[in-house]
Amino acid sequence: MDPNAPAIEARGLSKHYGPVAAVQDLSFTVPRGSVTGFLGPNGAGKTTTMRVLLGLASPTAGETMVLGVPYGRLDAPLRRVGAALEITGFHPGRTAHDHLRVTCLEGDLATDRIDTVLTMTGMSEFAGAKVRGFSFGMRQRLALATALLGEPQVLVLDEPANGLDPAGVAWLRDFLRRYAKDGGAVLISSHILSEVAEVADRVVVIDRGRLLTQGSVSELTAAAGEHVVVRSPSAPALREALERADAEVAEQPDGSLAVLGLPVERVGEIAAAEGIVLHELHRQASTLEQAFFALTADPGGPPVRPDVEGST
Amino acid sequence: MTRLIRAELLKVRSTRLWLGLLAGGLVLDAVGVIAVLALAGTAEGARAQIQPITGIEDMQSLVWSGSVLSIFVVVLAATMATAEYRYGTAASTYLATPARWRVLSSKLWAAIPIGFAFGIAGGALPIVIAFAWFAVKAGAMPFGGPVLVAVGEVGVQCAYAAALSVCVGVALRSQLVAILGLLGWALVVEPLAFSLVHSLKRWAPFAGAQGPFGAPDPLLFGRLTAAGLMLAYVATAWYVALWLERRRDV
Repeated sequence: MDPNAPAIEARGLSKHYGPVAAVQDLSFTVPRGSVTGFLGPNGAGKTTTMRVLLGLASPTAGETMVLGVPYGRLDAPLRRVGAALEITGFHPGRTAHDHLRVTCLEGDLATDRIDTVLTMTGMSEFAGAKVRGFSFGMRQRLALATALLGEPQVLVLDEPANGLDPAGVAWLRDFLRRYAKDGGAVLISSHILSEVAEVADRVVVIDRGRLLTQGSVSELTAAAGEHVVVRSPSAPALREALERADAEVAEQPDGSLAVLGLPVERVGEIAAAEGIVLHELHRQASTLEQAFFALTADPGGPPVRPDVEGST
Repeated sequence: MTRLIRAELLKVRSTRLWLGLLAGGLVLDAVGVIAVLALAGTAEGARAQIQPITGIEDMQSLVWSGSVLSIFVVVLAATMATAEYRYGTAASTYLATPARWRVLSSKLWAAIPIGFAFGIAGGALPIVIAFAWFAVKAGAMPFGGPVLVAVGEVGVQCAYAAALSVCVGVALRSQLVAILGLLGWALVVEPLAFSLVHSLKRWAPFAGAQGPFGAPDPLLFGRLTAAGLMLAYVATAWYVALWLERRRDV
């Protein structure tokens, strides 16, 4: 293994299922010591990419490397890479402890890590319980426990926060930050963009199997520009006035208006000219979510919602 | 490889399916043995061509009836392979061991002793029941080395059934298709085929290859040839399963 190689690298990766191109000429890197968010709308090819990366599916073209070598050539892969994928399941008739014992045997790992990872993921009290009785969140925790068994250098996590309660999400966020700080690399796909924004240093955004962008979160949000946030008790009238000035206006969930296409000074002038009272007026950098929508929005179709299950 | 085989054995031991199948097989075995013992020597038994248990050969036949366990072994071995896809554990398995031939080999080497153990249990149970039966009837149970050899033969039959079934399970992936396909083949297709063409029987993967390790049958090959045929079938099934598995995504 090349000690200077990126934790994960995809070069010209393509994966076709018959005539359907799930991934097309995709190249990206995940540096060591970072958390990289892997983003894309449903069907963008995130899970397919992860499966190819982990040797579970073969690429149609291109190659993927983990720590400088294809996954299949890693020595003791569970000590190098921990993965929790949506497609990974558990035998319902097996206990959590037995599932981890099986993984230890398969991965040539010491079984004394079992109690540690069960404690880390808050599953200690369910060690002897059969998986069939587990909630989705508990299965997610068990998947994370499995991924952490080998104390790997790289984590590949597919929607790991799905089903976790708020405490679990907070634990995961803190854990991933510490893990990256200690030199580990994480590739995490998630449709909870606010979560990704809080934990990721970098993002790789794909759509329809193609790379849209990759870089730091700050670069991505900066590239998406900034907008003006304005709040008024006469929001409908203000919106009408701003739209007459060719601004793009969107109402936010909190009732304020997000204005694109006009500087903050001009928004204030228009409000004053119309005699509209303002309660708030400021510039705001785009969030990761706004940057994501800007990159992936399909002008010809309905907006893609990243909060819907079933990504491929 | 040893730890992978241990992992496969743990996968079997850590669920209760094996216990249910073993119990089911032994119950069926016991019912058959008790029926034979009860009917042997009676008018009903004579009509059903059931001979009284008077000699070593009769005891051997009783022991060979334990090969009914092979049906349950087929189900267990096919499940060892197909459960990985039914429950999505194949991804974990291949993440730990990306070399698919190693996973398949470990499944094969784990299935063989499991099948053998089932067969030994299935072959030994008739002896236990017969021993108790003869004790109650104050008779002497015919017993000797050939009876013990017959127990081993049932073990070989079941080990072979396990080896073949685990490979077919890997190749087919679908639990329902694999189990129904294997049982349908062994219980319906083969008997039907060689009732029409007798000479086919010796080549049949189940009855033909296993047959020489049971009751004597002039239609079958000798034991050495049958053993070679067993190895050839298992090797072919293993190779086909591996060939398919290497080409398919998880």
